[in-house]
Amino acid sequence: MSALRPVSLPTSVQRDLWWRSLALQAVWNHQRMQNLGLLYVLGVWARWRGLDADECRRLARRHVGYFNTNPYLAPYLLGGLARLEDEHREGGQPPEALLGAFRDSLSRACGALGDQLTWLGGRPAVMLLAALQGWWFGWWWSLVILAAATVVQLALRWRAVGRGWALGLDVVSVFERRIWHCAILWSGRLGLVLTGLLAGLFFAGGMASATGPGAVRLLAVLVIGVGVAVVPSRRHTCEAQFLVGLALLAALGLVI
Amino acid sequence: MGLELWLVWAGVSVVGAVLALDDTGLAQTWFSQPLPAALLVGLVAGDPAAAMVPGMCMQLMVLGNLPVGAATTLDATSATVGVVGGALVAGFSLPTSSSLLSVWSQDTGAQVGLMLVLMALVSHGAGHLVSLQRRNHLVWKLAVYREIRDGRFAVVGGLHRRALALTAARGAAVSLLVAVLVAMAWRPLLTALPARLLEILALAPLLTVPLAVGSLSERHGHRRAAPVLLVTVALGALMSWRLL
Repeated sequence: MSALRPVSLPTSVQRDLWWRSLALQAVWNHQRMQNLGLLYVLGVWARWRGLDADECRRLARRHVGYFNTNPYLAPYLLGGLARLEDEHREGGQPPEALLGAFRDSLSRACGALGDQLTWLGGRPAVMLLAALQGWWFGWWWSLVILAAATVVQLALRWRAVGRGWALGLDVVSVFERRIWHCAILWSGRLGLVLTGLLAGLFFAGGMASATGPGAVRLLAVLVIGVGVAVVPSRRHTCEAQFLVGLALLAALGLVI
Repeated sequence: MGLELWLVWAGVSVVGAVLALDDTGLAQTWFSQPLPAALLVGLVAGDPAAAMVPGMCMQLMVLGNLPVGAATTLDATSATVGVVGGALVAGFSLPTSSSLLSVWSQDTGAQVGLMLVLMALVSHGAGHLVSLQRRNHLVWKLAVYREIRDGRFAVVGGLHRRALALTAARGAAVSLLVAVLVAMAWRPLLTALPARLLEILALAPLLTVPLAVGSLSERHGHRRAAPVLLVTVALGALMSWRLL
């Protein structure tokens, strides 16, 4: 449907959509999560097309409900949704029900893929890479790695807005590609590899320096450190796990 | 108090405000993660090399936190900016190099350990403020709900500007308050703590590494993660003989 009637997106509109998509979570709330962020982004399209009060009312009522997705993949959805709204306004197609279905189903897909890709894979991998670079080559290398990662992700988010608009309903096909699952798998593996390397370097290097706490205490640190993360059946915050681990070490320190 | 110190406090506030925005409200570039946050506040306070070590340990500590949906809200960003900034102002420095291995010495390890404990506590405490702010978003939304449903998009824009301003103010205020308190209490606290407790605190930086290993293994599934981790830990140990 979308491919049959190409409509170009002016750079200024794409810029505004992209800029506002960066603030998708600014008014995050517990009831409907990112719904106000979605309306904020769609406001760009409404202003560009000069929607009258009645059209604005219908647009807002369609999208004021619950909305939550991954902020890094959201630009695909936002560009696509703006395009579908544009087509709906022009010719009544796709129907209103499909707009909501598109938003809801794609937000789930973006959420599932994006959360694994960014929070579980990409972010730990980039941060560990920055940490290792900083350790080996100096602190400024950490900032260089992070600046490069930032430029890449902002550029990808810019491109995603344009792709979403260009593909419209067909943006769904973007998420069918195998590359997402490969990226999730390999970024996760990279995070694990870098964690293992850092742990090996840290403990072997520290033990070689002979200023450490002694074999028994070191073994206690290793067992408790891994244990507090692995043993509890309910997931706690890492900060809480750290404090519990330290309290256990303190208790153990009284008897060792 | 000299002009230089005023400039450092102003810098801590600005870094705290900008990174609080980056944490969730705007862009989420990962510069608000503990390692870069510590480096940036270290630049402001004049010793990024010393700031890197507590930043790195804090980064390892929070590696397994997933900020999805309505997950428990924390504020590791303001905690890192405030605690590291305050400790640097109070005179925290590394004896020789900025290597992560410096935490193996009792004195540096205890100081970094104390910072980590403070950061963990502040992260939880400031997280309640974030949660409160999010509840406030709901109140704001309900106050203008009719206007929103009537498609007055200017109201939505206004809400965003207000929320971002509040986020920046929260980040600046928490970072500055924590930094000032830590700077004031740092030296008296270190001298007042008993030697036994300092010994335990010296273990805290070491604890962050197995915690990172355990939490990532738990997130990825032990069956898949354990072989990768075991091989790479051994590889890292071998590399340490050649590199470090």
